[in-house]
Amino acid sequence: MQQKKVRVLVLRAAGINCDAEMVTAWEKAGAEVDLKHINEIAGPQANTRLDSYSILGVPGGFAYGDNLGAGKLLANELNFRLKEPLSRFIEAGKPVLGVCNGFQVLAKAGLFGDMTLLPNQSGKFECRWVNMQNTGSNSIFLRGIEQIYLPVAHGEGRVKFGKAVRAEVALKYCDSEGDTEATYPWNPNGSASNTGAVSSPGGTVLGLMPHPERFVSAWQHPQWTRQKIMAVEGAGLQFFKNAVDYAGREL
Amino acid sequence: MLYCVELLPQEILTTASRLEAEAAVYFGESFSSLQQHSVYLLQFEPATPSEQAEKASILAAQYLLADPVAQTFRGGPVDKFFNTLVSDTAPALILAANRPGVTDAEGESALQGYQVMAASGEFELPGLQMVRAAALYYLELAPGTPPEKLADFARLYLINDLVQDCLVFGPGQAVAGGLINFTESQFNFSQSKPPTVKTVALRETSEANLEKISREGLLALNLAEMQAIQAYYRDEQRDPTDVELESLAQTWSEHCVHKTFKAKIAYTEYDVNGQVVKVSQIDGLFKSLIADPTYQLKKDWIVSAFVDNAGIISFDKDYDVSFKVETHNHPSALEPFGGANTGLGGVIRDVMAVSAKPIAATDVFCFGELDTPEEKIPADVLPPTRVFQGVVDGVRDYGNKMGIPTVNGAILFDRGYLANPLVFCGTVGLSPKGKHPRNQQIGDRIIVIGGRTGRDGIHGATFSSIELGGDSQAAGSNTGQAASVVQIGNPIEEKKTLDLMLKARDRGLYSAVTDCGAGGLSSAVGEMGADLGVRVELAHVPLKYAGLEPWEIWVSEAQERMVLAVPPANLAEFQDLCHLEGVEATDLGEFTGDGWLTLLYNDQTVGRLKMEFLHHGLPRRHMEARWQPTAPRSVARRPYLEDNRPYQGYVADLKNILADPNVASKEAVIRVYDHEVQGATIMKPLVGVNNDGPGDAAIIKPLADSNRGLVISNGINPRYGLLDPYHMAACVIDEAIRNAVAVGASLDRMALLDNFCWGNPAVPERLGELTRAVLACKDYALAFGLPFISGKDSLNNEFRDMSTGNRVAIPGTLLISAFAVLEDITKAVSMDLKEAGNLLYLIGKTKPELGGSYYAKYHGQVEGEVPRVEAGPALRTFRAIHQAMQAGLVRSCHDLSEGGLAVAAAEMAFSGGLGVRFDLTHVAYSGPKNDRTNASILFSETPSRFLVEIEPEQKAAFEKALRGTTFAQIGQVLPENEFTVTGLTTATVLRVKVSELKKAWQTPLVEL
Repeated sequence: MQQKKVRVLVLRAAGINCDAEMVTAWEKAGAEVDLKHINEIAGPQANTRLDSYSILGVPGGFAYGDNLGAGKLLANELNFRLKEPLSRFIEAGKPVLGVCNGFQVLAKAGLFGDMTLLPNQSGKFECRWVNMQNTGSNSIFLRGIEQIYLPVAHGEGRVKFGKAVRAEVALKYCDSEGDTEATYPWNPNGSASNTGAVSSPGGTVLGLMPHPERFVSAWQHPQWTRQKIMAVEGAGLQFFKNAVDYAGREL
Repeated sequence: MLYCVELLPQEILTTASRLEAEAAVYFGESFSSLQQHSVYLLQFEPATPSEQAEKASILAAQYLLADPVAQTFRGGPVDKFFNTLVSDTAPALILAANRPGVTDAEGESALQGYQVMAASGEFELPGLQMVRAAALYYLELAPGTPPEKLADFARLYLINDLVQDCLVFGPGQAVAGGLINFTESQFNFSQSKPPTVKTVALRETSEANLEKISREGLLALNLAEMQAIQAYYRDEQRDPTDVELESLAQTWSEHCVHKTFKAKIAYTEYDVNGQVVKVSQIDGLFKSLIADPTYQLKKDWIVSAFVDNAGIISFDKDYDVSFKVETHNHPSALEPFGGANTGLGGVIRDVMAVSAKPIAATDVFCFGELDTPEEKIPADVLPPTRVFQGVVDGVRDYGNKMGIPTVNGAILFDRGYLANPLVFCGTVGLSPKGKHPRNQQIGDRIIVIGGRTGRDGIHGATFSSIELGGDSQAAGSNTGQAASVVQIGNPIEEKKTLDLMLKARDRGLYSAVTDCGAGGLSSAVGEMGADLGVRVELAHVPLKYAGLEPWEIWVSEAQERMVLAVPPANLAEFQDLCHLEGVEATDLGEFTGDGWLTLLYNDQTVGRLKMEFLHHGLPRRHMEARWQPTAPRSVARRPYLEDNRPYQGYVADLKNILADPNVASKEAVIRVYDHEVQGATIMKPLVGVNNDGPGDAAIIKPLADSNRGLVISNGINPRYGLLDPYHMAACVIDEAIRNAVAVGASLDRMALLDNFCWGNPAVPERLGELTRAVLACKDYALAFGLPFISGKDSLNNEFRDMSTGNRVAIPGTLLISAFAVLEDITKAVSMDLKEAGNLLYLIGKTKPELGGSYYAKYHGQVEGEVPRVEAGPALRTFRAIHQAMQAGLVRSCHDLSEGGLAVAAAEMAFSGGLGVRFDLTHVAYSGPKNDRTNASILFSETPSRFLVEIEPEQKAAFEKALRGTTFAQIGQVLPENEFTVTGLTTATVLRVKVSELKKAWQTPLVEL
């Protein structure tokens, strides 16, 4: 039986710049993807309903220049222009993925409760590959992922938790041995508890600083010239496949 | 109604802070702490009741400005707030903000965020007119620190006076009128005086007066050019308006028309004794030496060379790739962050102007030596550490925010760049074939999109044609122009414009496009309308603030603007799209077909020039160039070539060269650039077992469903130019090529870009050096069969020291950038050693060429045989290596450049986490017998050479692939942490731990 493809909305706004590679990742995972500007979903020129999608992806970049803090202004738009449809989407248990700036947007919009992302402890933007260890999370995105190697590229990725947190640590930065208390540069930003990804308690909303969409093909790995290439897919693709499988099965 | 909101951290988190470290050094023992808080100044509508404003500023702070998890806030009416602050706090305070009129993206964003809140209807919010972002620094210092010292600190470390302003409150010092002036000036930078157009009386004026008009108006036109203008207006029987004169100055600026590269040059070559050996007339450096070879080579894959804003070649059957490299030297010298920021922003627009999506960026910087003692830095010159940091930050900010991976570059330090740093920024673009229209029609509308126009960047094009220091800076500061030539970019404005452009391109909405760069609208609209003629209403141009004169509107180089020709039938759809993307688009007028440039201001004609005269009226320059080689030192053997030194000597040499800032790891810089955004960087700038080795070239795989790639590399080495710019040019062409070949490129579809940075070309000796370099470009382009497709020159990189009157020119510098299409990226090779037991081959002949080498540098000299490129053997080597890589025979490959064989082998070893052993007796040598020494073989910088690792089983196949080249198996890969070299007398001449070499190489730039 030919199954209908899962529909994914990838959100963009001024300054979002990892949208194209996120679209590619969802497509590789078998989804039908629309890339839409926030003005197409909210406001007078809106022509798109969030409700008609099963998955929402918020890609990386520098939404509105990260002025007033990373992700803050797009979070402000989600809260004041898209609040209703977004809460409905999340309450319906539809998967939401925020990567890098997308994670910052979701966090600053309060989706994970009292949690924020601050400037890196090194005081610098950091572009490097990191190891992460699954904490045993129930995140639907992380099924089958124990350890993963992915690139980060951010200046404000240092997770800080406040009092009323509505999220669980899903991935922790670790060293090559799997030690989740390893410090810089293994923990590239000084995140509390080495937090690299957080998940909503229900497991359907995931925010992470590293970029799974930048490792969907073997040749994106920094050391592919040292290896015998066994699979042409990169490990990051699993995040997207998991979500598409879940949406196809459960929604 | 002026309110203030200050954000305070809930707890102090330790974050590395350069500023705090600098303050500790500056204030010494009296310093105890420095903290920086964000402050927002909110200007509500004048009639807003104070309780409403109070409430609104609290809501804005709570929902928008403060991070509720990490920050608290406080605020109030500005004067009251600061009065409380000053009396309550012991620390000294410094309030800093961008100068009025300078881009304040943070403040603009805060206003937009507030408007989103207001529009939601969730709160009742009063109208907010403007927000300005500022920083408030708290300095805890011992009592008695004089306020002047604080002000000096602020100017040295916190702000750049040209673009920022600050206010200092000493400990306990009362808030005086200073605060009111400061805050009010933040908001009141519009001028209400009516715009005026002046007529400049030059028809009947004297030669001396013509020169005076040019000098005082920063027009940068010489007498012959002023006289051509005079003659035109005599024919017209009137005097020019200021708008017209400015149009001519911009269009005829060195920056825009490259007068030197177009000039007829009388070139004389002398021998060392001063006897003339050659006299020739060069009919334009550009036309006869750079463009001509490209036309001779007739490559059918060149889509566009020299005529568009970027060079374009065919990538595959559906896509083209474009590449452009620009410099932004003068602005970066004065305001490093802003200069580099807008430099990258500008070259990105060049690629947008060929309807392409930027897919990669390159950056090459030349700075003064970082350890230059303070007393050696002239007044008006920023210390190199500050220039370096500012430039890196500026590129990081723009490149990262645009989402363009910075994948390739170089950083050089030389004392010759102290007053004139060089900042080269490149952008590579990808575009679908046939989607770049160049067919503007009569009646098409002239649309400007993107940022608004302000008084920023006025006279950038003419300013760059004048030396730094002395008159230009003084003239600039008299008129406030030095401040206006430097700018701060707003990358998100450009990103929006890019998003819009790509959509408009795909829907075919425009008939032509160009960017607003040097010369602003005058250049962009002037060029687009060169054939047809245009009529432009300057009063329609959207302004950042009121009060600009018509000529300022016309030449302002305000950033992030593009100009498009839009057919009237597409206008409505185009404007809808702009609205959706949040990009401002304004209709300025039309293409007329009358061949005139007609400028209106509120319907009054303020300028009317024949396009023919504007674009073809510039008299051609005749210039003189002289070249005389410096006499070599005594022909006796150079002492540093002495052989048979104990091996500790070579270990020190090798470590010194690895730790030279020009050779040392640039990881600290590379990691602050997002070099992987777009997910296409499949050969990254850092490679190897620990992702920290120096890759030779980057490879981009721009299409997700194709294994075709694009190799990007560069070559630069001003040291050889000190001996002979001809061979320097040949060597850097060779270097750019071999870097690309080292990762797998072939020469079959490779193109070159040239960027010349030189001193004042009116000095015949300087022009002679430049001419030598360009002559080599012609010879080697033809010899290698590689076309130049784009280039740029930046001349007048000179500084006049006001205190001594000395003129200092940079070392003549040529950057060659190469890009090549790689058919199959899966065949690419990196430079890190892969496996113990593998064999090491040196490909290419080694000659005793140590002139300008790093080995010579560490032995206190430059002189010696400058490396020369033998094109025939080089070409055979490039081809053979490509063949071997295609056949999968090569495990790693690294080119030999600065520091020669020893440095290449060391880099390969520590990048792969392995050791090496090799034997100098096996190296293929060519040259005088006496010069065959351990030192010359270890450290010679003979070009066109590679060190290659292969598996032992591939020996026969590999040697077969290399037939016709000079090659030798010189050693092997070891499992141990060991670097061992057998010398010519078969003793071990060099033995050292690989990890020690790595440490030497990694340490120098790590803290920057």
